[in-house]
Amino acid sequence: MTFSLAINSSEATAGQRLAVNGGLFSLSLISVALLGWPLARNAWREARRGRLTIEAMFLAGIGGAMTTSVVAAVTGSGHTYFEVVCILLVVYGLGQQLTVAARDRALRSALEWAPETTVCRVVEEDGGEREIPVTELRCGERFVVNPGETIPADGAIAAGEGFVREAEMTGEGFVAARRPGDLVWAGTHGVDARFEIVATADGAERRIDHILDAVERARGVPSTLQRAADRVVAWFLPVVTVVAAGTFAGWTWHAGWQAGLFNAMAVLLVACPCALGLATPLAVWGALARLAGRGLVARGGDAVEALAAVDTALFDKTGTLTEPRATLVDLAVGAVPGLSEETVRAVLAAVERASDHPVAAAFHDLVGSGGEEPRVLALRLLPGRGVEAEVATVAGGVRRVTVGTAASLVAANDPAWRRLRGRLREVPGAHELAVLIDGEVAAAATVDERLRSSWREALGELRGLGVATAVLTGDAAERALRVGADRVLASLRPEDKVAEVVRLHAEGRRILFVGDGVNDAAAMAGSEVSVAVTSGAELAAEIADISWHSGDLRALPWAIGLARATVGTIRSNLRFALVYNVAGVALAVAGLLHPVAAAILMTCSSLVVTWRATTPFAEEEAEAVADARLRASVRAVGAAT
Amino acid sequence: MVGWILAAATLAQGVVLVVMARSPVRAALQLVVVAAALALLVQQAWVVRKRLNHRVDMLIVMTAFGGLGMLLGWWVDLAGPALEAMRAPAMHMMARHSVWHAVFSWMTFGMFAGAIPPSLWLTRCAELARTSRRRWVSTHLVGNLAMLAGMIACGRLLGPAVAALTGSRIVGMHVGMLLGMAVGMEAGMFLGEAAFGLAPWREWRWSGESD
Repeated sequence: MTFSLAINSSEATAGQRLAVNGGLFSLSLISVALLGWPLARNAWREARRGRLTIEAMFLAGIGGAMTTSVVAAVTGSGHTYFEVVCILLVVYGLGQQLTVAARDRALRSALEWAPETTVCRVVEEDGGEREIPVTELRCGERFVVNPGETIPADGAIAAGEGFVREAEMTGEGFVAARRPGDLVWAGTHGVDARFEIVATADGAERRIDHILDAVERARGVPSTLQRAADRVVAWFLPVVTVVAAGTFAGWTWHAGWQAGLFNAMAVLLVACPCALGLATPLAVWGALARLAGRGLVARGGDAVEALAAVDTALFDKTGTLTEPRATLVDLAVGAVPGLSEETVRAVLAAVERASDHPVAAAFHDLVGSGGEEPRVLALRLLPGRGVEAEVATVAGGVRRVTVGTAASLVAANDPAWRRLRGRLREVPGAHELAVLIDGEVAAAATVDERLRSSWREALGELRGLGVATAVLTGDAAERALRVGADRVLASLRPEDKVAEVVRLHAEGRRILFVGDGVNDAAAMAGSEVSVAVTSGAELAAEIADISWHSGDLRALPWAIGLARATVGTIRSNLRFALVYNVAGVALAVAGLLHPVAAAILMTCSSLVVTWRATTPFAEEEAEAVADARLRASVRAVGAAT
Repeated sequence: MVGWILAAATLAQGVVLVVMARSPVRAALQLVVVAAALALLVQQAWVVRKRLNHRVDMLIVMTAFGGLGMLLGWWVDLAGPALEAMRAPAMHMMARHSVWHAVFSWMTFGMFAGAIPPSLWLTRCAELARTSRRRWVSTHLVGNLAMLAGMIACGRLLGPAVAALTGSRIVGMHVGMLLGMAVGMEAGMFLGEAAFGLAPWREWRWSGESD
């Protein structure tokens, strides 16, 4: 620059000017080759697709400035702009690099919850351990996880009992106690125990991999706002080109073609639509990744926008608001010839473990004799009633065991039933089950569904967001009323649920439907946005906009808050980018902006938009997480140094 | 709130430069617009700083508060005929003072007074520095000395070149010194940490890692 200044302003001889300009030209050529090449490559790639880009026009401007300077250097008249070309390329290139880095960083931070574990230690047949890449782990192989380590693959605990931190997968802040037989997921963390785990899926087929794949697919599905922004950008470029051409013509006529060239370049640089193009997808991608972090995997950006607009949340009850497995409230065992009470319990537990009915799960933890367990020889379903099994008892005999709803298996005035029923604790709305052994009433039980522990808190948070709640269930009113939502509609058939959705639409409501069953599918399809519990029916999951992999209902109000913040940020970002670009272009057209200043403004706007796009959720989360991390790391550093 | 104060300090530098340099309308407008854009960038960077490298907070605080302090101090130093001389067109030769004159000046005092107190309170680098004597020395001693050296060196080497581009010696010198103090501080801290074996190239992610 100093050389350029000297040569432009001093009375140098022709030889001196040529020599200095030759040096400057050589240096500029190196800068253009190094910094302009990536831009030229992009511009050429887009040009072959028939698209004219800002890069192409910027490079045309750079070429013009270089040509002007070369002509001035050779003829000895006029100014050279070699230094301006170099600075422009540096500022533009630096701005692009910073923006890409900020975008990548924002996306990485949104996926921070995803496990980075790439290896696991499998247990060999001789008891030794071998480290292998997670992707090579096969279903059925046994691997170990030490305290504090990330669980690298999905599996069932074979040995070890302790706490597992599942916040990354379920959002549940408290650690969960896990013991042999329990399922654990890749990405969660062992806290205080060494676990031996049998893989329930191949290392490349983990649940977390499916979630990440779904997030990646969802990124490819543009949302309505994203499509609108793309349309604006598509119009923006031709308009800017026309404005730049007009600026060039106007200033060339008014003050010479150098002024025209520089002011046109300033227009192109300040109006680079990076900010407009970045604002929406970045915010939506960030939101999709954050939702997945709480177990809510959306199909596309539209789900985020629809979630933001929701003012009514409809819930199915059973399996959605209630735990997937029923709870055993009480059990009364009667006298059965040849079988002790402990044996009856063990027989009942064995039969129910062999069944995959949700109610059967209530008996899974029933403690038997502790010795050898009865064997279930055959099991058949009694549709609408229960199950029937043939069980070989430890003593050697084979017994026919029937477990099912009391109303379908025994007469209400059966004396044995009445006697056992009288011993059961009264729980309004609970299901009464009868256990028959060889046709005789052997036990009576009450099981009840249990509301998810997060429901009350989620309900309060939904109300705080101004979202009305209603439960639509096919269940009896006395059980449904215990839920405590704003409205409870019981004994509904699937078509009644659809009718309710239609009625609410007629009132102008925008509906979120959360369900799990086939009976919810039609209502889910009719709602603005639907969430399906992944443990439910496949049809519901097929139809839903969002699949829900965690059992934490508090994720739903959090997701609505996140979606609202995201859409709010997208809108304000678009407004900001539009105002910024229009104001910048106006200054450039008026000749008040040097191209270098325009390049600085463009870099600032791209970075600001990139950061703002991921701020709504990052701000509060990062505040909380980073403060906790800061304290922890400062303590760690203090200890280490 | 802190982000907006930092942004105000950044914007104020643009305004003070316009007043100091008595810039013509076109240049003044350009200067204020660029300062406003940078101020917005500083505000947003402060909001998202916890997702950025921990050195970013120090950079922001130094350039916003330290830069404003340096500029105001320099204004005091230049008061009178010296300021008039600096307002002369950029291509005129600049008068050079000795290094000691630059070190013991209101400009240096303003830079340190503006930068150090808030950085002690607001930055993660300072928070880290409290955990280790080696870090304290590399951050506060080496870092600040390097900031001073960078400010003086870049003011002399880069200032005239930026002045040539902007057409204002005051603007050019300030931009040169500002870049110099930022680069000096970061380079000084980096080299200081490297000299003490603190692996400065490793990004500090605030996740409980130790040195």
